[in-house]
Amino acid sequence: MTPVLVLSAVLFATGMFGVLTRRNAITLLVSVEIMMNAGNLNLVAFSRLYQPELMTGQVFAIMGIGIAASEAAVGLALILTIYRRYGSTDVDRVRLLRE
Amino acid sequence: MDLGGRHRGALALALVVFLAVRGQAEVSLHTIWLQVGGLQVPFSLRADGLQAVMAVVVAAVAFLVHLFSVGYMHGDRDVVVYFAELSLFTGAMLLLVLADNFFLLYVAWELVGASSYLLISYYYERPAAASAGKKAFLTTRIGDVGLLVGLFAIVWQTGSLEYRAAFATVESPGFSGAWATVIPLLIFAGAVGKSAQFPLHVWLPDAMEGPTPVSALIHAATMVAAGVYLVARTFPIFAAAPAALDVVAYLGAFTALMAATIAVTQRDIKRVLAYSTISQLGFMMAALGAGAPAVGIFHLFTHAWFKALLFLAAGSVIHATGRQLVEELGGLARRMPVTAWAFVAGALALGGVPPFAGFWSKEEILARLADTHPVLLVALLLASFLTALYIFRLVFLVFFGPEPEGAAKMAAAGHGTGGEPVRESGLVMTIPLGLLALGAVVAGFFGAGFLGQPLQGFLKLGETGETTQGAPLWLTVLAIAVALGGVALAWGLFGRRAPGADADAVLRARAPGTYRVVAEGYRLDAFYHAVLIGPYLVVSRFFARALDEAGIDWVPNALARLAPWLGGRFRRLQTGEVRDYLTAMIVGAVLVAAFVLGAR
Amino acid sequence: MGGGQAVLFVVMGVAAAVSALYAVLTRQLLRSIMALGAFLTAVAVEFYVLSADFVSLVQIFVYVGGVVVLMLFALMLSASGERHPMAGADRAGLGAVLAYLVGGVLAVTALRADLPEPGAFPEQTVSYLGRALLAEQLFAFELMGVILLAALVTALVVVRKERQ
Repeated sequence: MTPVLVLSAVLFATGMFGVLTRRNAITLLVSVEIMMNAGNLNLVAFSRLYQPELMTGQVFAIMGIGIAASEAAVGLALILTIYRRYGSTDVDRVRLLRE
Repeated sequence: MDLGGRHRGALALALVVFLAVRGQAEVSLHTIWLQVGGLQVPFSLRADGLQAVMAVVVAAVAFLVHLFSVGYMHGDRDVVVYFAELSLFTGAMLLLVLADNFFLLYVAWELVGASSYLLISYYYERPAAASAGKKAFLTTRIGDVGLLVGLFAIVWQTGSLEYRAAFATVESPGFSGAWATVIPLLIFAGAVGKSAQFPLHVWLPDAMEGPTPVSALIHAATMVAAGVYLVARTFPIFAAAPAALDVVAYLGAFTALMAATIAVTQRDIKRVLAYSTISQLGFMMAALGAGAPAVGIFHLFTHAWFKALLFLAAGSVIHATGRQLVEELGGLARRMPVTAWAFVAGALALGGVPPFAGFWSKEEILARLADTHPVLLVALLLASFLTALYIFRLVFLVFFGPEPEGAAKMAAAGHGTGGEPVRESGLVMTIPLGLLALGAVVAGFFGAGFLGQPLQGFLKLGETGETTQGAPLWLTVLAIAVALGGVALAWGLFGRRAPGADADAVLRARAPGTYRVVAEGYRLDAFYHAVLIGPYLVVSRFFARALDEAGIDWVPNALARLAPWLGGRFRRLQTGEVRDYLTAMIVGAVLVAAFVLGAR
Repeated sequence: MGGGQAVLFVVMGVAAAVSALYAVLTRQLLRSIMALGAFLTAVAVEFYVLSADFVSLVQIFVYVGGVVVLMLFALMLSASGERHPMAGADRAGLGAVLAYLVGGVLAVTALRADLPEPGAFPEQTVSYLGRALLAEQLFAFELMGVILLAALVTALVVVRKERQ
């Protein structure tokens, strides 16, 4: 199982890099999804290691997928609204919380 | 219009109590108020002879002053406050004289001081009035500290706050030594403050800034009498220490003489009366110090009537003319006959002319001093002469003689207070004057020698040394001569003068330098200011500026400056940039995870 | 794992990593989303390799079929593909450091951990999962239903045009 864990670590790091770096809102969301998937991989892997007969990891992976999907939906809805308001999806443009 | 309703009630009650006590009964009330450690603090009232008489005096004068004030203070902006403060004072004073233990006495003592302050500063928007109130309070405070320490000593030595316990301890054979003298002296300190004896007398002339009825009530008849009452009430404690009694007598006589000299030079009617009060209180103290408290109280009794009368009459004048300086007045007997004759009655009583009240009580004092302190007798005879002089100076300058220049025109044009022509005051003011004048005539007979001194007997105060029955003939004659001599000199100096002339010129010409010093109260105020107040203010300012403002205040001020500064720095965190917030979130999450996992 | 499975695992692993990297780095939004799609598919295969077949299917249905399409729609409606601004180069350094630091720590931990031998999932994954969802994990299941509902309503409300 160790290679799986290493893989998920790498993927997680990649996703995090994207979150910290990208300016476009949608790409930001993409990066977040990458991170979440890495997490799901971890869940399933560990589920094989500890009490696999319960399949708890798989259950939570499924939950995670569902939640990620709904989060993506809401996030995109917000992005659209912001686009309508500001004419841009550039995250740096939205500065309402300044000071 | 409240015609003194409350005070009428108080007076009625006081009279009832008085009559009850006349029948040799003593009315009293006693419960335990507090218990602190081993000390019981009682709430107890008593009306024996002395206290019943005091209660009647206080209630009667308060009632008349209240009535008078209805007219005097009419239309004033803060009238409601005035009457409230007046009632507070009266209540406190009654509590003082009816208290049966030292604790209650002290509470009432302080209350009286506080309400006196309120009343003196009644015209608080005038700086002079405000500072007069402060001066009165602070000066009497000095005496109050002495009284408080004396009370501590009493509790320490006797273990109780009741009068009886203290008297019993003092009269017991084993009690002697330093405390026996120190305690009465401490109590006397309180009396010196409240009764305006030297050197704490400086507040009383300034206290004339208050409304005149207040002066009549507080600074003539009641509050200043509290000191005399205190010494009389605690007389057994004094009796056990002859040295203390001597101090009282000498100080009293000195004050009497000193104040009388100052009174001759004053130009303000009320200040003359103020110094007169100081002087007369000195007479009372002298009597007490000579070992005859009943005589002192007798004089307090008569003095209350005629001094209140004099003040209220002066108030009538001030109310009608809007002036109180001697050079601006004259010939008022024509326009205000009732006031004028009431004042004259009071003057005759004060001057000690028989058969008016003051003569009888003063004679008793002089008789007593002839036996015990002949030196002081001389001093008081001199003071009596001056008393007659200064009071009849007022009579002649204010009520007789020519009117001031242009007065007739001004009067006709309406230059009295409120734009009315100068005329006699209304009934609400003149009726109290009449009643007090009656008192000034009659009060003396209550304790007169030839009538067997019924008042003194009633007081049951006891005396030290031998009891004197009446005065020797030569003394009586001498006293009358002194009084009439004073009147005559006053007539000679002030009786006839040209309009607009300075009546005091004759006296002033004799010794210009001395006259000025005397007129300024022997520069005692200036002395206090230079020696006590000035340095104190310097120290005070040092503490205020260097220590307080720069030092202690620096801390909260610095904190107050710190907050915005810190806030300013933190403000830069709020960039509004989404990515910054994301970064922060991630960093935070990583830290938390590390912490949690690392803790394992 | 058998040899074939191991090869598949490695290939898909590389594919996933590469497409994730591409998705994160490319300037063009459309390509980013497409790379995401590839990434998600690779991960789905990984799930299959790990014997979590149902999860794999769900991944494809929901993620690849749903989320990616959603993003494409959003891309279309916001027309942000054209003048797509540069990725935040200003943060690249810090981001890289942080990200790979974290990743490194995770990887190292995984490598040094003393892991037990992997077990085997039960044969009938679907029926077992179904029973688990409705029995032991019922609470979580219900909660997820609520979340989905909330997300649905939120999205609808947020997107509504404001009334003038």
